[in-house]
Amino acid sequence: MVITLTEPALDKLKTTKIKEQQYPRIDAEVAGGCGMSMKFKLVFDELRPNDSVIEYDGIQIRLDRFTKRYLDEETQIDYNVEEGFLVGESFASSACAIEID
Amino acid sequence: MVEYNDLIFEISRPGRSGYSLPKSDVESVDLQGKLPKHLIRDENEAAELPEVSELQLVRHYTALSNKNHGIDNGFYPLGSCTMKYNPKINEDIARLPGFSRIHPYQSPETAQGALELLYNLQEELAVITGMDAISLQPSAGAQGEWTGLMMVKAYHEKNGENRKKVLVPDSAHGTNPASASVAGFETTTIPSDKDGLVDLEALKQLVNSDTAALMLTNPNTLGLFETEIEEIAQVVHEAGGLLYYDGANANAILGKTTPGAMGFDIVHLNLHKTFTTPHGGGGPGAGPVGVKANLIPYLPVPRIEKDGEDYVLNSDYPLSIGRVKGYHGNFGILVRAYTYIRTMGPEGLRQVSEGAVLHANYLRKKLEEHFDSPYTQLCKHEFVLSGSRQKKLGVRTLDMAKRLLDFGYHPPTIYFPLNVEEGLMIEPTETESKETMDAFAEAMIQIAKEVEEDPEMVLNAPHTTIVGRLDEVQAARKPVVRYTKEKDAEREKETVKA
Repeated sequence: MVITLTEPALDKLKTTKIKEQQYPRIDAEVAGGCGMSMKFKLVFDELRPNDSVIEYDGIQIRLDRFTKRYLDEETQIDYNVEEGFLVGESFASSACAIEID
Repeated sequence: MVEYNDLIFEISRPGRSGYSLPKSDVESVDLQGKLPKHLIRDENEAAELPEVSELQLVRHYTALSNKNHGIDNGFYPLGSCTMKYNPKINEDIARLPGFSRIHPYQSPETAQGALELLYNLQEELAVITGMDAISLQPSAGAQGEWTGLMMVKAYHEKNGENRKKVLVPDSAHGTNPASASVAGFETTTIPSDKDGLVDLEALKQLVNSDTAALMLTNPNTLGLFETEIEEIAQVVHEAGGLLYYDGANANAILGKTTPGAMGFDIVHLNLHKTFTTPHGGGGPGAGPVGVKANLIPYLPVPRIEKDGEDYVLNSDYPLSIGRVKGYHGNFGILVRAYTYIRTMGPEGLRQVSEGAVLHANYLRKKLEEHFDSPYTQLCKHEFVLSGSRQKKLGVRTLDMAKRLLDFGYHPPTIYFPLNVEEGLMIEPTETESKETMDAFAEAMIQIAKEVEEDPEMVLNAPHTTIVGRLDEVQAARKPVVRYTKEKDAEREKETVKA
């Protein structure tokens, strides 16, 4: 799995003050109901037992087994002030799935 | 023992067939030159239909049907879907020739019995919901919602108003905002308060002269009863809006209270949930709509009415939103629902909601120590747990749902409502035994233990199903919905490589 960070994402991550015992993580956020949709976010939280660690330009990004299963093999993280971090491509299992805002 | 797990295309052999016809006594004709070229199929483009014997066909589809999970072969605690047992007497009655062999184009004089049943069902549902009149036309819950909202629109337009906003709580069923949008409204979300109920203060801020209606399920999707419902109704009515009751959770209040008593103006019911008509598989369904007296003129037509001793179809309602479904709804489904209501009787229907609430609370108490419970108060027919404790250990709710398949259970509704992190919405229904609920609770508790002691068991589930964990990303992004030999060979190659 390859994770790349755009210049703005890298700059933002390097200048973000992260609390002790917290780490940058790509996390899958799921919405259910009739179908399932998934969106990926960059969050800062604690270690999980089955985390994978992927490094890019000195930054370690974690993801749990579940997120790794659904994330594309090649994923880009971007950043802009309005939307924050933007991670990979979301997907929905059917047209009935509720999209996450 | 041969297991019929292969696709029917894979058991196909060239030239094998399930029928034999006598040799044609008509000479074959070469169509080339006799028909336009574009109407003659190129032999190379012929559909690759499977070639199997009759016995292979029967075995294949019988085996396939046995792989299906339904309420008749297993527990199905799918929250908000009320997957309860459908009594077989409903099927017997619906198959009586007097019901099954009539035609919708028959004149009303020759179908008095069928019309009487429909009229009686309208009357029964009016009592059950506390409404003044019912239309049986809508063919499912979402169409019932749309029908109700079209009446909301017609009502406001008749009063010279063009109200645009429909309010829905953040725990609402997804169909509510969708129906509002299809009916031409904009939706505004009302947040829940710390107890999981409608935030009354937020509602007061958001209600105004542009509010057409508030759509509400009570009890709500968290299985919690909106205790401030009378004040909610008052706030909406004082602003000139209408109150719409989504009957998805009616199993919790059957015979105990009515949407009418709570102040609702319009109701839809899902007969496939509360009234035991077959559920799932794309229908047919039924989503009758009920209204208070001031909205009767807007109901769909024709309406089934009684004129003296006769049952008649009346379309003389100039303000009606018109017909919303061919004929009179899904008649066979309506016969089943009527059978259920008549066989249960008022006391039986009351026992339904009491049993549904008792079972949900029994299961909730058994599980609450093993999962996070965002709302711990007494629930109604369903409850929502959170898998956030397990998420910290690297196992997600979807993983646990997959593991439940190994125990032979259909998983609960997951990741819904959206206001609960890693949600598991569980609705056992009144028709399950204590033993079944105990066994389900044991399975859930075992899974919670596995998350701590043997997470790989959960992360790699399911283990006992015919196919293991499916690649849902691939299925969503590159769905293969048609079998071809080339694609199958490609798939085989990729599987071997993997």
